Amino acid sequence: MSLSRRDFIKRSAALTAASYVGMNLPFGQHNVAHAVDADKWVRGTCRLCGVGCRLELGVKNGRPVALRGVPEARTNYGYLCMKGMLFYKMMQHPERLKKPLYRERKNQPFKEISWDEALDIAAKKFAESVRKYGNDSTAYYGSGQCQTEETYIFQKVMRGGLKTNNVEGNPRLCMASAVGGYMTSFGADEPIGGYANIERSYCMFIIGSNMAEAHPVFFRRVMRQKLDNPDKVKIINADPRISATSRIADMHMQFRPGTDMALMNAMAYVIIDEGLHDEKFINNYAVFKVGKDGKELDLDGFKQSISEYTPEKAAKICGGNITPEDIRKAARWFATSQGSLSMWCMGINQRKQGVWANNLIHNLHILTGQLCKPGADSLSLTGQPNACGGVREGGGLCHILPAHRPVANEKMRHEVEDLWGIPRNRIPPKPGYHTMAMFEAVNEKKIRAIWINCTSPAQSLPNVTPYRKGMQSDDVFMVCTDIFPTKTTECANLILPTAFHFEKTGVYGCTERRSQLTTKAIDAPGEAMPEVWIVREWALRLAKELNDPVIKKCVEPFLDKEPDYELPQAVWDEYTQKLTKGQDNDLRGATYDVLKQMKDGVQWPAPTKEFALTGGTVMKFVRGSDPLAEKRAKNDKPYQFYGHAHPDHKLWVWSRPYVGADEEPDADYPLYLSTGRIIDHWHTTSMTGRVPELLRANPYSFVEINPRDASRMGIKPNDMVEIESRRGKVEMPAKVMEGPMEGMLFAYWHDMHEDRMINKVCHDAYDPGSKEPEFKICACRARRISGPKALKPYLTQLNE
Amino acid sequence: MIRLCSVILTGGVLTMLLACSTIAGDKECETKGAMSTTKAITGPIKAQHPPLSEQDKLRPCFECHKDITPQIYTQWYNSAHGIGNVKCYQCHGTYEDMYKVPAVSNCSMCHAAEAEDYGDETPCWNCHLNHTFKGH
Repeated sequence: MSLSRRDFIKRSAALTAASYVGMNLPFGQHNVAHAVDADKWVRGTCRLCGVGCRLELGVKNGRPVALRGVPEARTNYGYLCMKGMLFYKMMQHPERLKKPLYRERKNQPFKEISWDEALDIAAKKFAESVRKYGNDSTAYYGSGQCQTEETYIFQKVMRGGLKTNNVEGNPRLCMASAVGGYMTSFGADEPIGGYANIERSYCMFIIGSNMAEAHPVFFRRVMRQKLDNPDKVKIINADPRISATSRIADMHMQFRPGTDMALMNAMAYVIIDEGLHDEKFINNYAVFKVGKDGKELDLDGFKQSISEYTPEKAAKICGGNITPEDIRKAARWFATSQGSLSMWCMGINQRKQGVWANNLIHNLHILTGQLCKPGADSLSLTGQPNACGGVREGGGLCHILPAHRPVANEKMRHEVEDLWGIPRNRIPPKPGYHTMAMFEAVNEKKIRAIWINCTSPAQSLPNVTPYRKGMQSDDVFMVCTDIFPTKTTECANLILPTAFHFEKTGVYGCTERRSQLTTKAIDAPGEAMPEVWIVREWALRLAKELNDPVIKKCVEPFLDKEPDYELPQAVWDEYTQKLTKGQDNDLRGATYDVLKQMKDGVQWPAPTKEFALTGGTVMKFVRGSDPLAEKRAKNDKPYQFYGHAHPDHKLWVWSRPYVGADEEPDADYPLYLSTGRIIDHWHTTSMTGRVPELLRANPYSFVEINPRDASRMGIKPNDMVEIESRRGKVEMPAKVMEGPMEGMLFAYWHDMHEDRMINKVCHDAYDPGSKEPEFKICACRARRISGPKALKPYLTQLNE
Repeated sequence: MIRLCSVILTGGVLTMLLACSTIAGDKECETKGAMSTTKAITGPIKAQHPPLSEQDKLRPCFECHKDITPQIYTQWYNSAHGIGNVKCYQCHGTYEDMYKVPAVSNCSMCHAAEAEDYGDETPCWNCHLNHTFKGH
């Protein structure tokens, strides 16, 4: 039945009468653009997820007016999602931060100051903290959205200059378990293959990922492979929630949150029990291990260790819609396809057992030899544009130095000190605080000066309320570098306005080991500056304050460089030519000149320019594809697993027992709660909330409730629902739908309104190995608090 | 085989029916997309949405259009755009800047190579029926 226009207007009027009236978000002319009018198009990378879509920014009269995809780019082949199409609209938004802002105490309003004053204050306060409380009273907390040059120079000044490893970043909250999984299973971080496997894969195992919303353009490739080969390609989607991703699945395995380890152990059980394993591959390349000390097993021993995970038992543990026959069928599809590709994201990583869950995915690939051949890979999807390139590779976590060097390794530490030309033992051997410990240390007043760059932990940490209190305290001096006000700038003493990418030059490294350059296209608004310039100038002042020439030495190679191109280029050159030389992420061939020539970028290892210009290494560890596989070969086998964490050059199949969530539902909190991204928004909405199309598409968070739970609780669509855990409560509208399984709620986390900020409710237990928190599972209760309520979108403003 | 392609535009006083047909095997037509001797609507055609309160503008388009234009909704939902979550506003814009018929340059944000091949004179929907996006 269709409605007439008259009916439509009547319906609209009725809606209006029932609604809240009034909005305070400026939808002005800065949002209007016309693609065809651009004077020039400047190539770069999208920064609103980890896929690394290549695009071009259209510029007219020095203003951004449009975006379009780059058809030749091997990441996205020209396709963009709505965020990638529209982010230009917030670049010149009136609420961009344009001047340095300062306040002595956090209950005071911010006042505009000059850059000289701002940098002096930042230097004095960090120096004061060092003098009074020691070097480890200072900290840097960065982001997977920073360019590699920014992460690299920040961590260099912190470690080499301020003599602390308190260097962390938000990838700890999303990717650390994937790092742990790759290191312990494959001996080296980051995936073996990349996106090129999608079009060659005939079985895709998607677990713990709603890629249709979180990685839309990547999903498009998966979708296209399925739609073009509907009978040949099998898609298994394993998730407690039916999501937009499930639409292309042949089989949706809906398991109770946290029971996926039983599911994957059962798949391994079937593979071995039915003789579907690849004995030759295992004999050539794998060993079996168990326990903390990594005791070796043989295949029979491994089989014995997982003997309890029969499909029947696993189906019972998993609950949901899973049958023993489903598990068998999934294992057979996986083991026997021409190429099987696993893909996962936060549903696996953000877990108390995140590393183990990663291991169990890798196990399936090692057992079946579904690696290193076309269409076969175990591919962790990255959430952010530069979590891999900048933070994992550039030294942005407390335990790793640039180019995958553990800080605790004396030889590698000295190597870095020598390359930087600073005295040996300047970098402390002990890793700094990991993210959750860092903000705990802020609460405990162990950290007295912290620099938060390009991220908003005051909204994005799990169980955020106590950590926010710590950040709000006047006992800690906080600098924030950002482009818009956020929940975290609300806790700052000093806000430094930064350039958005395309207003500066730098590199992002996406999910598939691919580094891509974005060059400056327009000037940043007001006095906003690139971070590399800010760090350099701050370090020079810090050197004077602390009378420490080594701090100056850290930025000496970058003096007198103009900030828009020469400076980031000098930082990139130091990092790639010196630090990645001889490492597994060798990027010496990927100079700015080479990256500028590439429509997309370069996949490491890429030790020479000639090789980098081909696009680099498509399949790591494979002779003929990866130059290091040849160079580091120990025998004549076609695959060489040379990762430094496995001296035996073998893949390790781990026996990992099923362990459930840290906080399971009980009588008081009888429901599971999980959270995630929505397609139209990026993280905390400080950027996407300022694009009208994106804001309106999902102006506030909502909670998905299974119809049977809703019926039991008397909740109807759009009713307001309170969600409460042991840590906090929020309220948001309900969507009653066959999404989450019965007994589970799913809430979107982008909303920064105090009443709807779901991270107040989430659990902050973390994986003992990766230290990544279990955002994805906690126990909660829910109740209807009212009928539908007209809500107002909310974005933090300065000096509210 | 006769293929019928129709673009129906309704809005304000404008109601147009454009029908074009092609015979399978007409290579030139298939490869260049010149499907019809009838001149195609090339767009862009601006639109003004019936008045809505600011609060109502915060509802996703499909919530109303599922009922108001169910055929279009169903076509879109089952199309590659629907499965791939390409939403209404990505082609049609939002209230301040809305298009009943988008500019071809809008399609070119994702389909730049194709748009360049065919140019503004042969809009995408000449071959790829709007909202199902099937063609050829």
